Amino acid sequence: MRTSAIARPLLAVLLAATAARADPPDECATAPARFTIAVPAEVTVVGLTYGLRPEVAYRPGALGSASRLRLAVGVLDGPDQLFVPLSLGYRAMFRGRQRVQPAVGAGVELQHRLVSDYPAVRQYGVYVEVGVGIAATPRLAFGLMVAIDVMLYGGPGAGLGPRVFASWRL
Amino acid sequence: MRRALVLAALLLLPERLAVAHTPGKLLASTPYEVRNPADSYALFGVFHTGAERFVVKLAHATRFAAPVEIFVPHVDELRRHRPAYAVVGPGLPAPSAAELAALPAPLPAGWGAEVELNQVTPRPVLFESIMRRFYWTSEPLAVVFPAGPSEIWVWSAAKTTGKFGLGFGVEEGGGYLAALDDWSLYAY
Repeated sequence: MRTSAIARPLLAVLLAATAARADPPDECATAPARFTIAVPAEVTVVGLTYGLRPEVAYRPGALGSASRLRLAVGVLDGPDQLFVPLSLGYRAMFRGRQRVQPAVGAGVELQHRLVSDYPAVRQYGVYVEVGVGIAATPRLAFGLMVAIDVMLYGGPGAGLGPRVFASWRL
Repeated sequence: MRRALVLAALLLLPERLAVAHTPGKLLASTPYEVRNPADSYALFGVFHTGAERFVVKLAHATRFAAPVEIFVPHVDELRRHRPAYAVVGPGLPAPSAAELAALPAPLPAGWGAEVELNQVTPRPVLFESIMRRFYWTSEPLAVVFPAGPSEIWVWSAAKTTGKFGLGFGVEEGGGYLAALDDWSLYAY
């Protein structure tokens, strides 16, 4: 039960990425960039915090490839805590030639939670994400992502973080 | 929509990690009747006037040792909010004169009390990883509940207002989904 509950969404992401076709470079509607930076604004539903989780995504493959490596660091404030998550993961972005570009991803996450009168809490776990981007220009996109994380060490628990973002292809 | 997403997040939790305290809502107007006194409960309530007394009723078949703890959300406006509690009932030790005077209601004849006035300074902090919240806590106090009926009284000695939680019991289970019934009370 424990293994399958975690493995299932991760497997789904990997299968989706494998199935994604690479888009021909000359048909891409978006700029041929290796890096994409994004500034998502997020609200965490479990353990209320709100703030920004800037990220950079790197395309390791050929132009048109769906695969991205993602690194994100967030700073989110809440009524009782400062939340600083650090994420490293894989993201598949589909339909690169289209205006509407779905994305799914998964990875690992280290979460810091800080209050003034207690040592920082550190939790380690995994996350999955799903969302969609809307290309406004060849470089600029807006979108919505929803991420679910499951912390496995440092205090178990599950979290949920919807976020809206603006991204820019460098 | 938000409820569905939270439910999806909880369903993804590995079973071993999903055990938690049974949530419940405390009302000053109605005593909370505990169904399974061996279970671990996290009951939440709100002092609106500071004059309320919350009552939890239990009945143990045999003597039963369990931790009891009271906590408030770790937010600035509740920094001075220190609700107290007392476990009262037949078979409990006689309280001191000071404890007796601090109780929010006269102790029935033949009853004893374990009193926690929640005055530890600096205030201990608790991180609760299921709801991902920080609390100021009285820290767990081991109480031997007598066989038979007993009660837990919660009151605000300084008449402060605000949210609080009362935790007690031992066995954690899967009743946490009841938190979805009043998400804002438990989560925020």
